[in-house]
Amino acid sequence: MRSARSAWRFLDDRLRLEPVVAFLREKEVPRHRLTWAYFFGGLSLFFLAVQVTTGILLLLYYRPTPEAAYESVEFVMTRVEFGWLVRSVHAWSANLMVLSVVVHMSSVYLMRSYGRPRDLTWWTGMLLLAATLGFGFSGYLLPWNTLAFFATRVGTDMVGKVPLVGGSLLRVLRGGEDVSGATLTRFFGLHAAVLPLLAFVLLGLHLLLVQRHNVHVPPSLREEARRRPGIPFLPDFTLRELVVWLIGLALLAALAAFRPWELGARADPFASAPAGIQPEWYFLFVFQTLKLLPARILGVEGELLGLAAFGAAAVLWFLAPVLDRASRRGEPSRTATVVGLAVLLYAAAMTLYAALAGRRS
Amino acid sequence: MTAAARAAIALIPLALVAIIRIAAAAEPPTAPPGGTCVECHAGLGGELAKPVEAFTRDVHSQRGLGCTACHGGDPTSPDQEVAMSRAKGFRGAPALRDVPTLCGGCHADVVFMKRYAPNLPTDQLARYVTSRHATELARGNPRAAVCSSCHQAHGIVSTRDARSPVYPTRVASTCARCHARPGGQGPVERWERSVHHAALVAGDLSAPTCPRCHGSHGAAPPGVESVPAVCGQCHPRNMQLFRGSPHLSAFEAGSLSACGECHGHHDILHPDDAWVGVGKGAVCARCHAPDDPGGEAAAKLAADLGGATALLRNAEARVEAARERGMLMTDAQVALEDARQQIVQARTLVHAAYPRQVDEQTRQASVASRKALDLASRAFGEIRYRRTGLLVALVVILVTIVALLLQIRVVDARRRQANAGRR
Repeated sequence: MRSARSAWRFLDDRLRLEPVVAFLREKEVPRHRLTWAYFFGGLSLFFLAVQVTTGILLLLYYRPTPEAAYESVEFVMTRVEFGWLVRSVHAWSANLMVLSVVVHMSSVYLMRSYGRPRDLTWWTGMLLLAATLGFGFSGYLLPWNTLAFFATRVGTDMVGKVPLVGGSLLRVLRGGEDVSGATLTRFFGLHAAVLPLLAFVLLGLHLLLVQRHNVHVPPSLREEARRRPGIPFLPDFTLRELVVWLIGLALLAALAAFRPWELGARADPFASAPAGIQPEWYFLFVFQTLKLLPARILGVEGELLGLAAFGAAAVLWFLAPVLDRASRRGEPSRTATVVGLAVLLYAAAMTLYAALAGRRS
Repeated sequence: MTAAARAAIALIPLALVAIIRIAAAAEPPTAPPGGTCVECHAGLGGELAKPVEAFTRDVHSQRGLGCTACHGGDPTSPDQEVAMSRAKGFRGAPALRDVPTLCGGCHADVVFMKRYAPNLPTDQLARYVTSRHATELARGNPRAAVCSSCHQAHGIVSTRDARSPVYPTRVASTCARCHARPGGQGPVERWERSVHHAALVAGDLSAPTCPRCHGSHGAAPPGVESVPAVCGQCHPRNMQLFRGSPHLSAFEAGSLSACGECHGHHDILHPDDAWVGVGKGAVCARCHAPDDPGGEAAAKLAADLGGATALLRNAEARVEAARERGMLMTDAQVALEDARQQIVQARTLVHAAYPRQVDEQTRQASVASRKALDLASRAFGEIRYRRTGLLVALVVILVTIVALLLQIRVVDARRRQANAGRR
């Protein structure tokens, strides 16, 4: 106890932490019937921490070349003590993190918490979502197995369809005309260096902004939040957040033990693509929509039009704080809610449809 | 550098362009290989124009050979009377009996063929005269196959071209034009039920089609004595073992077809372990009774193969079950592959008809299968260990969650008391 106190004094003398702790002690999280939605930001952070830890452990053995990548992952899974657990937890945590981030973003949108002054928080959050998807896409290729190889080929093919710069972008991404060793090296660099650095900066800014503006209470819940006492951040909310994190950890452990992440067969660039190949679940709604589009729409390639529509939708979603003027004034907006619900329902329905179609094939 | 030198250097590219243009212009225009034959026949329409159309994609046309190479005549004269006169060597459409020697006139000429296709064999005519087709032709059979029957007359393409009627995927239907039988019992229809056809359909262009066993230009049914040599082209080990087996002399004495007696002829199916032995469906039982020495040996072979195969199936199922539970079973799969190879070799050794050799091979297969089984058992042990570990971890996590929830209750209660005190 005494040593803890002296350690705290040591740190406080140098970092002046007392005001930060005082701020956190004063801080309160509003209490209302949707308070549970506030936990998903923290849960995403927890999964990110798991990703960083397990990712560093995997880095000790992983070798990013087509000749050695698959074998190094196989080595981790079969020869390294608890390697199977580390790899499985890394893969499952990546998926749960995407899920948690998507739920977090959806709740923020539906509670319309992106209005000024929280617009910058929304934008950093959206960029963090893009980084999370980038982590997922680049990490998927790294084990260099058949599914990853062909899914990456299909995924990067989409980039090639962008008018004018598509070909150049495709070559930048792949490091050549096709998915090869150069792609693996690039994806590894992206996954283990570029994206972590970007995510670190964005996350710092995002957390700072969340602390600066505190969480947002939608107009329909303000009365309830006023009536009920807020939850002090330290230790009340933190303890609850800890419970959520432990549930996430239990889920991860159960998934890793009961459904270990498969390695599949080593990628063979000369083999034909396996039937019914699909990207990761979080890209399924885009994939299925593009599949359902006719080859040509009004003389334009259907896929190209689909990608343009998704691109435009992403930009509009990103610009929600600007487009939804009512949110700036803190007023309710039925249009924004209906649009949000429609988009989320469409993505969920299309993902489900693609998953069922994939299972049938 | 002087001005004159600079001008001279600047002129070099111009000179090069000029030389290239002059060289290109100096090349004399090549005359179409068909000459006036093509010009007239193309305009005639109907049947008389068809050869022209087909000849444009013909391999001979592409190498500069014209109509006169086969039909004679003068392709430079626009006058039909002159172009198609006997005086100019015009032969018209060759008679069926003349086709082999007409084609052979060039294709059997080693010196001539070197100019066009040095790698093409020149023994087609020599082989053809040994064929059943040539025998029928000599007998005056108007349906006897000659070169054009299989290769076509005017649209001949390389045999490596997928459009060729003798390309591996098309040759059987070419043969079937004459050799099909009503009721699906013709040799081609029976071949279509075979393992060879299945391999071809699966994309293996080296899979046996009609010419592989019967010969192409020297096509003839293989005699009883040459069947092992025919099958042995692709199955040399089986042939070698059969020739060293006690069956060889017995088959020869009974004039039995070596491979065909057990495997069939055209409808050669994938062999099955049930063929070995003296039970129902066993081919050995056609000649051997269960209690004669051959029957006993066959029963022993069947028992060894059956035992090793059953053990392999069991190991495969266990390894697959472990794999489905998420275990990486690479080592076990290597052992299984080893066992499969040993069993394939044991099946091959059946052709020697010596039970001891098969016994030894199946023992090795069983060793590999047991290794896979052992690895599968270890994987199941690992699964149990992981689940136990998970259970312990979950209990620890659950206890921590309960402790935290209790702590939250305490904190909440304190908070309520403090708030009530303040009020």
